Order: sequence, then C-alpha cells, then structure tokens
Amino acid sequence: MNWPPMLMHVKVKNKDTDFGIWIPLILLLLIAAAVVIALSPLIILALIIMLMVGMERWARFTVLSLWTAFVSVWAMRGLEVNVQNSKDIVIVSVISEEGIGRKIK
Amino acid sequence: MTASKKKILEMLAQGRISADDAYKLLNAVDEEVGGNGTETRNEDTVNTKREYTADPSPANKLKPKYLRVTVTPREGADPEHADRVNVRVPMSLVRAGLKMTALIPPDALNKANDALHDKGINFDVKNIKPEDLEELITALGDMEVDVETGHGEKVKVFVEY
Repeated sequence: MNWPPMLMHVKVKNKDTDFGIWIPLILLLLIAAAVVIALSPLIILALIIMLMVGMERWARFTVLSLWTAFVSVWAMRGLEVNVQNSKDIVIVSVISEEGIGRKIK
Repeated sequence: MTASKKKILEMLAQGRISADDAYKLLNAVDEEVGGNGTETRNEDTVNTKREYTADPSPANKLKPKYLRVTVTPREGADPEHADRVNVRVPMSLVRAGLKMTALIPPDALNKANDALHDKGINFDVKNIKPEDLEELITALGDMEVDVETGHGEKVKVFVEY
C-alpha cells in the first residue's frame, strides 16, 4: 500500500538560527480533505455554473488543480533534501509511517 | 534481521559490494518485505544493482523508487567552499509533477512549440501522452549521470531502487 506522508521535518541551522519544526502532514491532509468535503456542494455548484456559461476549461482546471495538489502531497513520502556548507544546513525530510516504524526498530 | 539483510551486510563486510550498493540492496529488501508482508527473495538472488539490471526483462527489473541528486566536494577541499547536496525525490512525486503538464494552458504549449521550432527542434509537446510519461519514468531507471567539475566537486544523478 502507498502510505501517505505522516510528518515533515524542516531544519535550518546557521550561526544565527537553529530552527527545526515537525509538521504533521497527515493531520493537514485530513483537515484539507475535510474542508474539501465540506465545501463540495459549493465546488460542484461552481463547476456546474462554469460548464453552463461555457467555461469548461476553467472547470477542468479547477478539478485537475485540486486533484494534483492532493496527489502531490501524497507522493511526497520519502522526499529528502539536505543542503549544507560550512555555515548553513538545510534539511527537509518527509517521513511516512514505514519510516517512523523503521526509526522505532 | 532477515537472512537477505544478513547476507548483504556480510558482502559489505567482505568488501564485495560498496556501502552505496548495500544501501540500495537493503532498500530493495525492505520494499520486498513491505510489499508482500513476507520476504520472498531467496538468498541466491541477492546481487548488486548491476546484476539486477543485467537482465532487462520487465519481470526481473525493479521499479525505480527514488531519483537521487548528490553533490560532494573533493577530498581535502576548503571547508568554507565544501558544499554538500543530497536530494532524494520519490518517483511518485516525479510522476505527479509530470502529470501536472495537463494544467499547462494550450497557449503556453503553443508558445513552447514555437520556441522549439525556432531552435530547430521539430517536436510537438502536445503529443506527450500519459503512457509516454510512464515509459519515460521507467527508462529513468537506466540513467546515471556522473559529472566531476574542474574544482573536483562530484555531481551524481541516479535512480535508487
């Protein structure tokens, strides 16, 4: 099964800053899904109006945008960016449930 | 620890494979275990990446999992100028990114086509289909870019299984 991303760890370190944050992506995904579901009647209404007034392209664009945003966040599982030099360190990593399990082991 | 993992670590300890190869193999074993619930690969099939890809038949080919980009400074480089980059992009994200081409407005595609024609490239970007993208991603598995700059920095772009 393709697990959703659970956590995103962002760390920025230089001589002035030592900043690290854990972002619960799974919660954000759930909140976003809940918002989309709650707003779905309005979205559907807007899509119907767009189709009726001949704005098919915009209707298609709206649906595709929502879908690709969701798929992109879901596909971030395992993303890792680590850039460092003598002065700065920037780390971004997206951890899935598998990754957390592996860390616990 | 599973038998396959033990075998990989033994091969690493004996110097038969590099740390990089061992990492890739351990990832492949993890994927196998994660995917099936049980480990199905027997010890005889534990080989290096090169041996995996020696047989190009689809059944024997592992799916590319990550696109890796690494930049490492030369040994003994001035620490002030020793930049290190290590990027691991999941293939699913590459796939999602490529699918976003569907969001590009037709006018922009026309402009891209015109620009390509101006450069003498006779290619219509509108003809790129989802099947082509999938084929492109699969073909990325065979790609390996290894560049060494004049300053001794090594840039590697490769696919991890």
